[in-house]
Amino acid sequence: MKKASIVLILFSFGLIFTVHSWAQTPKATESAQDKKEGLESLKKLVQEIKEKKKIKVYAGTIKGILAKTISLETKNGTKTARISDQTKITFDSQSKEPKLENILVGQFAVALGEIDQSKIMTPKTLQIFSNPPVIKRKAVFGIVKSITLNSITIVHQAKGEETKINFDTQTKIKTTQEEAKLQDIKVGWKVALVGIQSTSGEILAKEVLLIPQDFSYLIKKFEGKASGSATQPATTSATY
Amino acid sequence: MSRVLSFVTILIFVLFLFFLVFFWLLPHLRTPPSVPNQEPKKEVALLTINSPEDNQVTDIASVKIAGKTNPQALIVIYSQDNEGVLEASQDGSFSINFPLSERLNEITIINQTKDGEEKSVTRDIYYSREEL
Repeated sequence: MKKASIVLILFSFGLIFTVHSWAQTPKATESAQDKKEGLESLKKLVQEIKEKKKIKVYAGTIKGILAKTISLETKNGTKTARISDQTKITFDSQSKEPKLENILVGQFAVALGEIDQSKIMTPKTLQIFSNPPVIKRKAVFGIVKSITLNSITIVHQAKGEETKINFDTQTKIKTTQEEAKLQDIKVGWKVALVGIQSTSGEILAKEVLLIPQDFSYLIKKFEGKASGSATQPATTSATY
Repeated sequence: MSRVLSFVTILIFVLFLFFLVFFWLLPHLRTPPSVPNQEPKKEVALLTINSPEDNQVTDIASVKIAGKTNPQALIVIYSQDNEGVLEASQDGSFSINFPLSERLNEITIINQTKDGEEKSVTRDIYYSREEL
């Protein structure tokens, strides 16, 4: 009985030792991993320092001007630019003298310069525009509901909104494999396109990608429902 | 005495085996149980742009736009003057060489998943042939 107990104890210690060894192995790997991560973060830091020395652009609406510092409301939050004597200021309007005093809150500014550690830019160039740039292009997605000689009507598969898409001779049409023509398009196909939205809301297609499969089952749920104006955009993408 | 010793040894051994089995099963116990008969969830639109970084200034007339999105998502890219439409690969990666105009290019990248979910990301890239 004593012998059996000794054997069992030895076996238990053996198992404990094995489990302990298993537990040790990942730690060794972790240490190597730590070193690798440390090197990576060092590389990243060097890259960041290099990046900071590069010329960057801040573009946004002027929110405030305080002495020689202007704050810009950009798409990614408020950015600060500090004007120096070397900053070259330009206006889109020729009549204005390129001086800091002529810059007004609400104007659109494009500042180009280096960014310091506190993320403040010292612009080399500061371009001032009366209005922000207008982007007439728009992204539109949908499933083809009907086709005419020079237009298609598509339905957004999630919202059910209908959009009329016009085509002209400049419109590029393609599948993922090859070039295509308006005559190739079939009801039920999925389309993704960029178009220019007119003031009436219609879209003139610039580039169209076709997915030549029948997706009409995705818009069946909208059949018979009031789906809004045919000129309503079928997507939520923003126009500036 | 020997009986007590044997009993203690067996007890330690049994306890040890219990803990061994417990820790062996622990990762499986942590996995949340799957809920059957639930409606399939809509694929959440993912869009990560690896290149270019925002606010870049370049003297090259085009920029490589690359990133990751949902598998086979449709991707539309446009700026004030240019556009591109493409489909992401099976693993969701995509890449396109996008032309730039000589000024501020406000580039919008928007995707649509197979379920019709959309997400968009913007990049401001300034192209100038002149050295700044």
